[in-house]
Amino acid sequence: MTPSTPQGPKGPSDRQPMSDASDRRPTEDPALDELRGLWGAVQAPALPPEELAEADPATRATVDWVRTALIASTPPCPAPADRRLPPPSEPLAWRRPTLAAAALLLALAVGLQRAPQQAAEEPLDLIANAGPQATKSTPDGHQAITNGQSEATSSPDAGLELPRGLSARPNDAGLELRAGPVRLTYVTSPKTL
Amino acid sequence: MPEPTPEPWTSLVARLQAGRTDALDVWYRREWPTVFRLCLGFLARHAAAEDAAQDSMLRLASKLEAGTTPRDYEAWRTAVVLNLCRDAQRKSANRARAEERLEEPAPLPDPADLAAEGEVRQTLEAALGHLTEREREALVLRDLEGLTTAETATAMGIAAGSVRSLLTLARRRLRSFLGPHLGEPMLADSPTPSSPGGQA
Repeated sequence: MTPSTPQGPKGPSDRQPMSDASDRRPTEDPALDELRGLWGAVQAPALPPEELAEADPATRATVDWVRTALIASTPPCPAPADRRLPPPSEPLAWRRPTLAAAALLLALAVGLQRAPQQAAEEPLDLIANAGPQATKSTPDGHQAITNGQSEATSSPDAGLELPRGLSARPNDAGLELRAGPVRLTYVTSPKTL
Repeated sequence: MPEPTPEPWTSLVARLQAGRTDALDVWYRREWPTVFRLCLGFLARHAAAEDAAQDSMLRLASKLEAGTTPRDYEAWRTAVVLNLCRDAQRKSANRARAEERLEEPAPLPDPADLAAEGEVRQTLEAALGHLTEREREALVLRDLEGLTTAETATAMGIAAGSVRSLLTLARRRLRSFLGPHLGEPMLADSPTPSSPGGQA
């Protein structure tokens, strides 16, 4: 068996590749030889094939033609009625109650636990009675407010996790909070602000 | 007169997420040409590109309204469109295989469509169709949309060296296909963008 003679690729720049030349033997397959030639050009350190191609005016003209043809083939923006869009939903702000709203809920919850009767009559006092608060970040990226007895959590994805016994829903002015007989409106509407 | 600087993506996305309908319209008009160009470049068929572009806009808007705030908006958008086009390509290939099994003849193109389609569009689709799917992706992202090789590699999920190889092959194929079709004089005389939606 006669060993084949090692031969370097015939790349566009006629440079010797940096890789092992013994891998590059002539084959019967012109496409494979061409690929090897390209690979030699890829490995040529001074002038990679991108720049080689960009230096070639005919290739550059071809790419320019395709770019311009793509632009020319772009239809006008569809009219609003013809656009596929998600159904209108509440603004994201509604789904992201602020930390202040969470604090308010916490105060309400704590107040209800302490004095349900008083809470029903004087809901605003509940905030003063809430005691010292502290904020912390939970491991899943939420923010929580706690005063050691109860906790309210705001989440960037899921919205607000309400303490037990509370419900909340948006209304025209802002966020309406309910806990039994107590109804409190937290004003968050951009219009109102 | 210099064109006014477009609103930064972060600001536009924030306004869109605040529920401003005018922001949605601004965003749509600004994104449509790029998204369509990407789809046509990836899919090489005008009708499929229109469908994919509409789907892409729907998906992008849904994600933005759901609160997605990408750090690099343009890279994120390109990735979303690329994934959607790959899905469309797969579905189209599956459909084609199913049709082959049923041995139904391929539907003839509508003569009205053929008449409406300009020569430029037909040549463009044929030229892009001459490339493989991956070659088209590399060419569109690197040469036509101006991403760097590294950005193209990240978007395609392959190595930078593979991008370079694909790019070299794509350019060669394109040149060998378009050369005889267009001839040197036509290559020098590039088509003029006339569409109102067309932006560089």
